[in-house]
Amino acid sequence: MKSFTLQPVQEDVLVQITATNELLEVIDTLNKVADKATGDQKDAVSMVIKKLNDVSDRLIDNATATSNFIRQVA
Amino acid sequence: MDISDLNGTYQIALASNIHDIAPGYHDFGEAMVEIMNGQINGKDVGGITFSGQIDLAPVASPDDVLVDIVIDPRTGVADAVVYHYDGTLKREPVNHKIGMKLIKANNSVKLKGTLNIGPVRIEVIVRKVEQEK
Repeated sequence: MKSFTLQPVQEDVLVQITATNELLEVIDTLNKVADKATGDQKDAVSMVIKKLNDVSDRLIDNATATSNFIRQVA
Repeated sequence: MDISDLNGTYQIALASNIHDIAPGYHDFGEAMVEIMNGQINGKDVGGITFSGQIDLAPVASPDDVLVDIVIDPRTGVADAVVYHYDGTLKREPVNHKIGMKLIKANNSVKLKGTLNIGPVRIEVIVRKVEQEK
């Protein structure tokens, strides 16, 4: 029998949330670019923002699911 | 923008390095709050109460909003505690002030911020999940 620690999983959640916060910073910057862009460029930047936002939602979902796992086994 | 534009239901996702500072402790990691005309009320999944207010930040501030919130573990599960500014984990309320950035993308609204309490770093994301009813 061996004991185990949840610390690596806790660190993983912190990394996920920190990375998502950095991704949101990128989205914030791209929003400013989109405000100034026109035509095809505006459409392209808007598409990138949408995709990054979808990724941020998936990262948040994954982080909260991992937090839920930690609560269940702690 | 008016603060009432933020009215709605929000999911808070957070993570800290408490596992490095106090091994054996973990974050509950998720809370649901209502924001109504700047007032915040809700609980995390461990029953800890979140209450306070959110205001628009001054124009010169790097942040978009300022959050003044009290986290009260006394309503939480039996062993719920929160980290205090004196470096201890206690079953007593603690008040935090945190500047956050507002990020809008497509139809989503998110707030992001970092709270530092001595050696403890808490990364926070607040995501709107429902418009006001």
